[in-house]
Amino acid sequence: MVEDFAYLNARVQARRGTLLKEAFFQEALDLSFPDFLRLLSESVYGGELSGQGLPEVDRAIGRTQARLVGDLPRLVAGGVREAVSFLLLRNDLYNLQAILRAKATGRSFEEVLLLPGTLKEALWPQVFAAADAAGMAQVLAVAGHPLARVLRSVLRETQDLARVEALLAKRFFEEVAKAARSLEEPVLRNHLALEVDAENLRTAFKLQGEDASVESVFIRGGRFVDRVRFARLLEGDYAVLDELAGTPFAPLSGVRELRALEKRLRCVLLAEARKGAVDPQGAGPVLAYVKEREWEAMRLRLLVRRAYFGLPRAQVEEEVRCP
Amino acid sequence: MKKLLVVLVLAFGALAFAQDGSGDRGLIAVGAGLAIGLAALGTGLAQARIGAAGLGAIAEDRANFGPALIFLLLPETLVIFGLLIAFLLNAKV
Repeated sequence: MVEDFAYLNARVQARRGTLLKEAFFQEALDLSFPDFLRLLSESVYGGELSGQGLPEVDRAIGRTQARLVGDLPRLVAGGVREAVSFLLLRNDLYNLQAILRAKATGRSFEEVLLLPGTLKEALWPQVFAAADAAGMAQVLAVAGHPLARVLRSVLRETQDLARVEALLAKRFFEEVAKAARSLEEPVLRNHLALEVDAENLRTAFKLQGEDASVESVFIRGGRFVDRVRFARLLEGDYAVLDELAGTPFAPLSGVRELRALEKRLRCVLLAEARKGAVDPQGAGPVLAYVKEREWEAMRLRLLVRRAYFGLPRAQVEEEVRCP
Repeated sequence: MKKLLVVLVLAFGALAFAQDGSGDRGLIAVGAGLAIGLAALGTGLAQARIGAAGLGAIAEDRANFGPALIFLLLPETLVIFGLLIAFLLNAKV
């Protein structure tokens, strides 16, 4: 065990009380946009809500998440801080990948949905404003973030977006897994291994049919998706997903497209994170809390879009529910 | 673990001295010391974690001060038991 998580787990336990209840999401599925705003303003997100538009709601969600999750590493020191930072470093990778995608597809910064990471919120607009990916690495390097070095090394190999994303994840996870081994925190290590498996599955789906070498994109350190299974999935052999029946990835059976895979993976990782929350002296409760907050933000962003664009309930109902 | 080892070494050392000198009286004094010392050690270990968790809960919401204080004080009963045993032993001296 790293160190004593008692202090942080108590804080996290108190914050769990502000997680939105299932009834909130059920009710929100039928509300108009103004009614949704009213309901949201009565929740923990209300304090940050300062407008009536979609960007203002996204900003409120982002800021509340940063306040309730992003500050966790700053509350503790030593090994506990290092362990919690591992959880949020993952979000930094997501944010960087989302910004790279947004810039490649010509979307604005407001459309990028950021997750609470280790970097300050104000830094991401600067990353987005950089002329190219090399400039992004420069901004991250000024902030002293380890992703800067990873991004630079990836850019030396390829400029293709899909491959940049895959290589970023590979290098990042391999570095994090190496560092996590020294933490002696089994809950975190196991979850990280599941995240590696999930990332390998995503990469295999994304790069199917492309001329990608298995060795260059496969991430080592997973538990259930080995190199052979990864290679088979990359070639379009979906039977691999059925072979995962005895593992936490059993719900992936029958999945044939990336969107469905993403959704089920999200639910699998959330369910596994919740299982680790039973030990009050370990990192499990913090891990479960961070994952639940992420899931909450994701659901809110989907629901606010349903209300704003007046979409029918059925269209988003499946997306905001984990069985 | 190291702390426990130090306590045991001290206790056996004291026992050796006690047997060397004034017999039962010394043994009872060592017993009383051990009763209070070990009870206080256990209480300290328990209170360290309860205190840290209590502070975390209070930092999130000051309304948690009362329950946190009660939980922090509960292990003190162990020292009271140790003290009681020490008194009982002392009465025999």
